Amino acid sequence: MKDATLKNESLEKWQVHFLSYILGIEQNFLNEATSMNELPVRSCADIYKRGYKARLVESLGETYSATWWVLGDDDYLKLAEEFVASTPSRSFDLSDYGKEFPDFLKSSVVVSEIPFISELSRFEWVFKILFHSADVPNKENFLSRLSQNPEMKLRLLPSTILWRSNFSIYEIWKQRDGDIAALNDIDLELPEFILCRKLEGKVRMNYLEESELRLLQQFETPRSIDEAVASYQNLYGELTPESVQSLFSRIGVLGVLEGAI
Amino acid sequence: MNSKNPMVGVGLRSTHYPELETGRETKVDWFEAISENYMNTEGRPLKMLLQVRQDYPMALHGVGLSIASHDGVSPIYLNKLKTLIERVDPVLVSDHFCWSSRGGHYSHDLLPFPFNLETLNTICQNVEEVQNFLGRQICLENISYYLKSQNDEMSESQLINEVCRRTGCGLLLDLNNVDVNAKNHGFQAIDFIKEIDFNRVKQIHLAGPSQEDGFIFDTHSTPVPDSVWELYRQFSDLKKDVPVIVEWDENIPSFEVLEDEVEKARQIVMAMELHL
Repeated sequence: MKDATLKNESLEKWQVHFLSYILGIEQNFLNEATSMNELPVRSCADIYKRGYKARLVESLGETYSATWWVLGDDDYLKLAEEFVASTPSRSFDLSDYGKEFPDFLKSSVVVSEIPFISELSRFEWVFKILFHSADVPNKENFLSRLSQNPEMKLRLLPSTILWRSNFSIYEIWKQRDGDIAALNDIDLELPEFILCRKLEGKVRMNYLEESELRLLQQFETPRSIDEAVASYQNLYGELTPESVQSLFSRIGVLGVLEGAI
Repeated sequence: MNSKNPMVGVGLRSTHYPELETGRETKVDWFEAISENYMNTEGRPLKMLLQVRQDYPMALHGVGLSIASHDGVSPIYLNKLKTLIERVDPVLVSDHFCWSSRGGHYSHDLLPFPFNLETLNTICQNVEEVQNFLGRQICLENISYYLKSQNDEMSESQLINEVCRRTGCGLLLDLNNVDVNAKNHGFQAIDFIKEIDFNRVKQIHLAGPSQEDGFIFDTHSTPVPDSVWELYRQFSDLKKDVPVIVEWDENIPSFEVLEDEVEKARQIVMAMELHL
């Protein structure tokens, strides 16, 4: 071991400069490093810079595979690289990277050509969240228990997401492993209301009517039936007793409401 | 672990889940899972990990602990790792001699550091904190690196030996990384191996690199090369009964190909035993 002179803060400086170089913020790091054999220091440091970009672009591609499919390789890679350059990773978990990608796409020029692209990526983020969420078994139809306790508060099960879009996103997403020409057979501008949930180890989708989705949304916070109906009517207008009964019959069988303790 | 027949295993990768799900017999004694792939999920990856764990010993191998980080180790990360350890009950827990994050930014890479006293002290402090929190020994792996600091005051092996001595942590000796560094930086791989305190080696990694522009990259994308098999033979001469994992992370082949690599490693182990 050579004379071990304590170089206070050399480690912090090394790490600040190294990371800044990788993120493309500044070049000071090049004055602190030595290279492999005959290579210039920059070439060696660029191995890490390229690796960072490649890993994040690849990870985005795994999360947003349908978005990639619709955009095509050239546009996807260009946009993904721009996104990576502007959005550093803030999580140790690489698969957590890219939550802001849908908003990034919304503000990009590509939206004028593919108006549904940001919505499609938002759907893929929803799918990713559900894929990694815990399995929650179907609940029995809550209606059977309501007669004993009509004031019982109900809430939407965890691992359940209510999806709405002005485009046929789920239809588009389902085609992602096929030929892009399949998009020609889809009515892209058909509004979509879907219950997305984790059930029996799989992410499942159930199409809903808009009114069903609106009513289920009232249970994103725990509410009794009366409170949910009042909240619904406050937002969307009067419901007849018949339509209330019909709506609850339909959402009751979905098994996604549970008693809130 | 059987001390007479050290276990030979492979890295658990999602590519092979469908095959492992069938529950077929394998030629593999144990598996090693990448910790971060299971720390943030309650979904299929974790289910598969726990299913495989029912039939095989499992090691947890991290890439995000950032043990050399000047910031210290993230308590959020450590909590998640501890939860995973409690669920999996691994035979070994490891990460790397590297840093990967700073100031809330993550590089998702195994970054090198200056080999000097300041880094040594930082790593020792972080290792002690981690081992105290987890209540168990961890192992750290020597990395491959493509540049070095101008502020080095000691050799890599000196730093590794001293961290292991001071903290009681183990060394996960990656022979491919030794081979890659030796070729890229121009030293003899066997010299490095002879310099390290081999009594601290708790596990070995074998993998195959790739080549580009005359340099070698630690990509885990090819079969284990002859030079790494030779290093394994040479190390086995120095220390026996160290469990081995064959890693393959890019261009991942069928499970049968990995099993062939496992059998090659087993042949070396058996040859050493006959030699005794």
